[in-house]
Amino acid sequence: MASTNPSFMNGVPELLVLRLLRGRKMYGYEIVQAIREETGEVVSLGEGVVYPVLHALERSGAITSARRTVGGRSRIYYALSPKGVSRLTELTELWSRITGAVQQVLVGGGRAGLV
Amino acid sequence: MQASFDPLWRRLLQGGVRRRPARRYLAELRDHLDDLIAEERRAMSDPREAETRALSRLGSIEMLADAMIERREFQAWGRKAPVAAYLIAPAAALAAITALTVVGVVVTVKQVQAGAGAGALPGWLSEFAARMMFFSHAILPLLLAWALGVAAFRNRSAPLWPASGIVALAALGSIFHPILTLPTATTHGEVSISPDGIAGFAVLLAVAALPYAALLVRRSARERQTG
Repeated sequence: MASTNPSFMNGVPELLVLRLLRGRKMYGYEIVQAIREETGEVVSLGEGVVYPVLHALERSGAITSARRTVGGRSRIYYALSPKGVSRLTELTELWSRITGAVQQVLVGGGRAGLV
Repeated sequence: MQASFDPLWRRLLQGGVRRRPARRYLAELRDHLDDLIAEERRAMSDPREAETRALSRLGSIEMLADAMIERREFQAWGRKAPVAAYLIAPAAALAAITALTVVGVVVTVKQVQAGAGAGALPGWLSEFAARMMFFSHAILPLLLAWALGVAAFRNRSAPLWPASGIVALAALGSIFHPILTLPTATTHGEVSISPDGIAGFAVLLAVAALPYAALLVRRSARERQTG
């Protein structure tokens, strides 16, 4: 059953951030570098725009933050919350359906369940 | 705050972002920029070039501002619902506090009257009642108008609704002027409303609007000086 999600592209940074935080706590700079590395620099954005994404995720309860001093520098580390795990599962399933549908169209394989 | 972030700070506030999330955003951007500069310096010898590249990687002011402004959860109420924030809420607060003040004075008078029995009411009660009425009629609208003006100024809100709110507070303050007549041995007490008239409204409006107007003029002059 297809569902409409007109802003699904807006969810890409959210999905990537949640996925990266699943493994470990990270601060903003680390998260951006990890996105660049793990996507082979295909996904590259103004690095500062990750913070509104992080702050919105924190506000929604998907991630938590804590200030820690490491190597003499105080940084805000972000961690995935149980709510964030659920959100990550939802977004991953949605993204898989979207990419599967787009792929079907690209290879010309019949009717795709476009969203 | 680094000088290079001042324009972003202004853009965020003008875009309606609340001060606290804006301040945190800038703090993290500053830390991120420090990391980027350090990374770029490791890769090249020219520190100025490294800083330029770091700033470019961080994102343009427009991009950074838009990323925050487009998120409604970080918007101040003055931006999300300016009519409610600057017009309805202050007027409702004035009405509610005035009503509570009058009720409080009436209850106090009744308590004192019950304690005094058939005797005369103490002299301080008249003074107390007059001061409380003066507070609700003259001081309270001014306090609310000044608070509204400062909040609007700090949030860099467009002046239309804050100015309307100040006018509304002055109008309400001058129209709903409560007069309390204390009971005597032979008469009941009474609360009545006695509007001040145009002159009273004009004086109240002038005093209420003065700080906000002065702040706006000063900011405008300062921004003209700095270009």
